[in-house]
Amino acid sequence: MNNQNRKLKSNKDIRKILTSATGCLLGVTTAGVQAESDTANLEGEWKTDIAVLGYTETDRVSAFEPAIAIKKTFEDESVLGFKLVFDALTGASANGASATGEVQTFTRPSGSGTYITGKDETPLDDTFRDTRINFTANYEQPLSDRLEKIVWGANISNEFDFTSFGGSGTFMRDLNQRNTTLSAGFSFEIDAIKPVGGAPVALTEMQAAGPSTREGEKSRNMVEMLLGVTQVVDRNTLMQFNYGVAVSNGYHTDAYKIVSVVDEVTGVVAPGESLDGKYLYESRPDGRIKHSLFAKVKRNISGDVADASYRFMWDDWGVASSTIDMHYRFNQKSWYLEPHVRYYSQQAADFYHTSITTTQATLLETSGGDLTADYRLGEMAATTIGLKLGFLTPGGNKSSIRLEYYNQTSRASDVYGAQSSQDLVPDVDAVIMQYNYSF
Amino acid sequence: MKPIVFTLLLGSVFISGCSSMGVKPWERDILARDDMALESASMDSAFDDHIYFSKEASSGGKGFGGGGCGCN
Amino acid sequence: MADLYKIDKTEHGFTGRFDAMASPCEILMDLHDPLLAQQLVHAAYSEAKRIEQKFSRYINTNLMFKMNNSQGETITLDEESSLLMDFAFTCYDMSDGFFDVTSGILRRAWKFDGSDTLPSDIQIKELLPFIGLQKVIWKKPDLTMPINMELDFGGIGKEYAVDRCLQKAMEKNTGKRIPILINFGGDLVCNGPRFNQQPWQVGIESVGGGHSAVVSLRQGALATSGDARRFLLKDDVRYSHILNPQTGHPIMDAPRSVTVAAATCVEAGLLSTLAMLQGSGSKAFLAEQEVVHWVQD
Repeated sequence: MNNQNRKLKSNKDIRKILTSATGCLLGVTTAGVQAESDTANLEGEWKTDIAVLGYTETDRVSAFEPAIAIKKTFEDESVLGFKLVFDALTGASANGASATGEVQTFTRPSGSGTYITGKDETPLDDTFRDTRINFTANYEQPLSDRLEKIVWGANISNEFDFTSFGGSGTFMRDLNQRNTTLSAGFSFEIDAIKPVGGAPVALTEMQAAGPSTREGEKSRNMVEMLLGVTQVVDRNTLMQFNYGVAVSNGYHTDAYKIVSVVDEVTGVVAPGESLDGKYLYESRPDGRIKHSLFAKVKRNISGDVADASYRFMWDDWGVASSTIDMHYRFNQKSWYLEPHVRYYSQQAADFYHTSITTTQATLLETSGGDLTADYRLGEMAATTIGLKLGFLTPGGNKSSIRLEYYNQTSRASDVYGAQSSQDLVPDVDAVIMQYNYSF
Repeated sequence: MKPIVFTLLLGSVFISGCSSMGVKPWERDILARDDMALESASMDSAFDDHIYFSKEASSGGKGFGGGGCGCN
Repeated sequence: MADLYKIDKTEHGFTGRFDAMASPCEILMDLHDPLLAQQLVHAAYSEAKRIEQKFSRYINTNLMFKMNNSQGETITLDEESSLLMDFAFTCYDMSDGFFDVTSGILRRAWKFDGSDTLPSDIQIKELLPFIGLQKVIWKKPDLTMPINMELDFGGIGKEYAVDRCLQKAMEKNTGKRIPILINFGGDLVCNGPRFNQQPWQVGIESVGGGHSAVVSLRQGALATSGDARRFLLKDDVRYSHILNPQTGHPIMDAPRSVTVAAATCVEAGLLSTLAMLQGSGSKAFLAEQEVVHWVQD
């Protein structure tokens, strides 16, 4: 009975009648209307972002990564997106062993052939070469009353020694006149790890023919939960808080990393069975629980945008880290300049040792335990400074370039004898260049 | 530890300010700008996440921390 | 004075703020003279308060109260009220009785508080005899209202005030044009582009999904009708606060919100309300009117 919404008669005259009636009411003639909207039509075209990243470390790894992402918003406000990233890596990577006053010889991961590190040089495995391809798909699904939505994600990536498959679902709900957004998400990831020549048995000694004993393929899996609150503070300010916990199980060891065994008095590398020196393959726990707290503030400051975030992360390996990340975007009419500063510091994992003594090695070889000399699990501070320039192309499309400098400074956990004259964990310096184009 | 103090500080601002927080629908002109979106440069963030995932012992926080990468 | 309104310096001028008509009100001005800014805000503030005092249903000494308590007696309206009355009749006629300033008494039955309490059919039927502008005798300037009927200019009052405040503010300025935008809780009007010939940027909130629109307004007005917060929810059926004066029931299948751009705020407001009254036909109606509009389902 109440569904009978009647049609108005002579709809076309309404605007004319209204205009003249309004003229009478307000006693003026008006200048008309000129209005247009940036997003008048919800159903959009496919939007494409392309980007190319170049990453170069001094004397070490170089990466070249082109990426393309496409995205479309549909009439029902659902959003579908796909992204493809290639990653070509070349160069040398630290193998975990320490620099010494002697020339050192290491076996390549494949077991065939060796590489030599000069005296007082950081041992780098120069066979590091990889091509990675990563594909992600995202679907944003609005729910019935549009205050809620679910964002689904799927992720697959492949390298010659690693394959990963993952998925995620995040539920989001707007509250408080859409000033507050709560989110809860779950994700999983399954990784298959196929180290070149098979995974070496942890804590065994590197031999001239590679590891004396090897294991086959390895795997690990991870589940993660992420809870978030986003709050509009005022007309200019937005805040975000997240808590995340990730639980992973399986093979976490880096099959290519080793640890030097040194004499605890002299600091000289202990003699190996078939190599000149003694190096043990590293061993990481077969599980990890990581927690993270993340807070971000974004604020409009008379047309410019300040963006600051802080993350505290800790895990059951003993790693704890703080990250501060700040961007400030100076907006001009058709271009912007955005300086960026990031500071990161982490404390070492409990089982990190820059090198170990022969006594420690014997203990580990007989009774087991965890051990790594991977500087990425050691005490470290990293600083990034960068600058981004965004501009519109003559065709009116968004484009930007950025240049960043990244420095890692690490501290050795254990220093024995002559090692004190070595730079055991030298700085890593990298330059990042990126170009973006959207159309 | 400094970092924890900072987090708590932000947290308390959040809680105490809640009652008066937010804007009316017609006050969303600034927040609706592209450069005020929480993730306004997703390509950059994704590249950065990948780089830092492979060079540091931490990942995630802002979003899921998985990397789908054998680099760490 | 500080209690009445607030004036803040902005990048390109000043913004005056006050509360009127149950809305936060803003006067945005691109100018550098703080004294002139104060005069403009004062003019707009005074006009908004004057209209509020005169037509509020919650003040029992004003003209509105006199009209609604005339007990069937004929009363004589002043010029402004007469113009509004004429306007109300025009709207009533052109909408075939859908836009009806006598339908306000339905609020006695419908309480739009987001709850699930619906009125009974009897409650509604009891009110219907007292609705219908055609029952009011209007011989300008003489008005005769049947007993128990009520007028409510709430459907046009705020938009009217927005347009009037702009006029009043512009009258204060005799020099070169000062760009002004008047915004009463999302119903707004401007007198042309900003100082640098740039349009005013106005955000339209997304009621449901993630899409907020940003409107570039160079000239004219925007008004929004919507039920983002004012509705009842029962058995998964949303009862919108837009009521059909002929049945006493809510219009079903109306969009969540309709925003219309027009030369004046009054026109924009009427068009958005009429569109809502079309229920599922609102988009077709707006398309036929050939107005710039934004609909959120």
